[in-house]
Amino acid sequence: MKLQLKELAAALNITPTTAERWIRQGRIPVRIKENHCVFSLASLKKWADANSLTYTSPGAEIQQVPENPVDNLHAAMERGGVYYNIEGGSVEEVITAGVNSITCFDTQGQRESLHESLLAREELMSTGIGKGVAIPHPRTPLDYGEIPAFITTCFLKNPVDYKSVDRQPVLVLFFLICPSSKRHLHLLARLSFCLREEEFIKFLNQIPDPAAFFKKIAELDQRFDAP
Amino acid sequence: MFFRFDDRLLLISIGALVGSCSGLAALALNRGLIAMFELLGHYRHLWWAFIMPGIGAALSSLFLEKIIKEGAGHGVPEVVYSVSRYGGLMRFRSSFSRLISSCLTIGSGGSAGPEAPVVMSGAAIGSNIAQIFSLNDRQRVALVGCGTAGALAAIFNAPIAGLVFTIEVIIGEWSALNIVPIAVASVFGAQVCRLLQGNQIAFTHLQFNIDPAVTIACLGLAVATALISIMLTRALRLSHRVSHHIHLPVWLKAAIGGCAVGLIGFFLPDVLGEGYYSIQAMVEGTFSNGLLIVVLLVFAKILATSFTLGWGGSGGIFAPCLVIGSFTGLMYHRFIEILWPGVAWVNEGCFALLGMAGLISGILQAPLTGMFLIVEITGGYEVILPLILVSAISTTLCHSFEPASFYMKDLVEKGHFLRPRTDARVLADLSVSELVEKDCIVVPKDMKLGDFVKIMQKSHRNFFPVEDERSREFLGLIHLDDIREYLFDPLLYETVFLEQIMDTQVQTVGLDDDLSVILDRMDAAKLFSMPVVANNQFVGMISKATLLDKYRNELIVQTDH
Repeated sequence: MKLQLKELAAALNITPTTAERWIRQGRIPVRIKENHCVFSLASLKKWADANSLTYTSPGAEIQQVPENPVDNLHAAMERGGVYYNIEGGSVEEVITAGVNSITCFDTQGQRESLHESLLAREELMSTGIGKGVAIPHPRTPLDYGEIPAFITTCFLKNPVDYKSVDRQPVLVLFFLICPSSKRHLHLLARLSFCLREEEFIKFLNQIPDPAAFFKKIAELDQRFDAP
Repeated sequence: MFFRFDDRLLLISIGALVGSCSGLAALALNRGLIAMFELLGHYRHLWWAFIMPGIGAALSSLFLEKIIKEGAGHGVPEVVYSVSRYGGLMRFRSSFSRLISSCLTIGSGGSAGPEAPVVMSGAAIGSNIAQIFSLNDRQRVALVGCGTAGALAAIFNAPIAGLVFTIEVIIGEWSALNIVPIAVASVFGAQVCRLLQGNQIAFTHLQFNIDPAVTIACLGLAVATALISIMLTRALRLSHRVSHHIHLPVWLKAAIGGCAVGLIGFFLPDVLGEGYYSIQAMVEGTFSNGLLIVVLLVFAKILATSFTLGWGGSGGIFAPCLVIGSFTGLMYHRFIEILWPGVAWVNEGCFALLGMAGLISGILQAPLTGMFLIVEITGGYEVILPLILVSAISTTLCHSFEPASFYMKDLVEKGHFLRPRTDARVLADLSVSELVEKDCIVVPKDMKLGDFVKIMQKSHRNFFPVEDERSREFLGLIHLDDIREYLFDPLLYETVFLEQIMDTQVQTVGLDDDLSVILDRMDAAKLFSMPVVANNQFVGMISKATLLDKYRNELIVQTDH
């Protein structure tokens, strides 16, 4: 088999300098002939095995699927949906009503376990982050199988005392449900970027319709991604 | 080609060729020396004969310096150096240069041996044949070994000593891959010599009857040979140093050294030349001089050898070692005869033989070479028990006074003594360019802290090199640990420039720096990584973590066969 030095180095995951030196020193079963590395594939693979190296044929490299495909707020919110006039007079009631409106689950069991863990999280400390917004989420990612991360937005019928940090009553809930902590942080960072904007808070207080809401979110997503 | 794919067969076949060629080279030097002795023998008794070694040494030095353009030297260290550093790469001219220069030095009466020149010549023949076949470093080193073994086997008619010396001193690695072709080359070298010169044992000896008293007495002899070995090593080094500090042309220094040898030889002719005739007389037990003369001869020979080799003559220390060794053996024998006159000691030839083994083992710090060489050149297997003892004890004692053998001391001091499968070898093979990590984000010195914080979010490294945007010159390094406290103060974002917070006193390394030196610097400064800078520009980072990774890879690859 014939390869360029660079290709051979890449196939063995070593630097071309190392590959060139090993060939010169006779440590690797490869010869240089007319500026090409000549070798028998079987003996090179055997050698690589014996030397804690791996040989990956050039071109046959497995496209590594990133563990968490880049996801933006818009996509997650579209998956979760927007709901209006959620009724309830206390934290528990609005969370129960909110969870009941989420459509992303396959079974009642999943819904119940989410409900339970959301309430547990609120007992620990309120997720009301101020400015009339709360972000209910479970403490640790729950095992929901194949369900991707989603954010369900719920506009309350009446503002509720949520024990927020600024003691303001809460009008909007963002249920943030993710399969992993990394995804959770990723989406939370984007959401917090939006909530820092006074203009966005005002926009939320106007209770926008879904089309306007998603348009705005897409806009903010773009700004977040801009260098 | 069939041979290409069978490495061992290829090495054995070419090794046989190399062994034969170096055997011929050894034979050529041997014949040359005999011719020189016969030619100059008629003048030895004349009063001006003392300048003959001077003229010989000067001519040999002029030949090496002006015509061949090579420094003088013992030959063996040069071969070890080339094996250590350049995968056995040697110049073609080295395959004959030492033969001619040592023929001039020794033939005219200089106190040196023809073995080391022959070894160098054989090694160069091996190296050049390897280049003709465009072989790789590992194969070339094996062929350099083949050349060495063939040459030594031929000049002493001692194939096992050739093999053992090569493995023990030149290559330093006992692996079947090397031993087989070198053994074959040894056989071919010795065979060529036997074909053209007859199968002679260099020093025939009487039949010795070894009783336990001899074995016990040889303990004292081992101490004596060790002391004399250390003395010879130090005398040679001292003489090198003295001649180095005298500012005269090299050939003139060689001439002065040679004349000094001539003067000593005028009164004590036994110190002249390689001295094989004296050895023969001693081994046969026909050397008639008394204790005092023998003691004088030991020191005179040490002096003559120092003057010859230390002042620029060309030759090896093998033969002088054998001569001094047999003198030492004889001296010891005379001494214990006086001390215990009632004991019926074995013939003095036996002690001469043991003394040779002790001195060779002590000087080279290679006990196996000492044992096999003496057994082979004397055919005296019956003395093997005391021989092993003397060799082993002499080597051990010498090692405790001189940790590196005479040949290797300079190489060790300069860091060129790199035995296979050692830490030094692995570190010497890896270069900075193989370890440099290039995933650092380089930032300009005029960047504001606020902008830097955004860049920082995208990097997974803790280090950020700072450079001048125009000249691309490396200015300093920002380490996250140093600036962590400022990172969370938005007030500073717009007011602080990177130039103000970078560390400019950072230690850097170059692409050509030695890894062992870099590691020492990292340890001294307690650093885990350092920036690599070439032509004032940042190249990347070098870290202990990557080094460990590559070091392990290298170690596995180097020890796999």
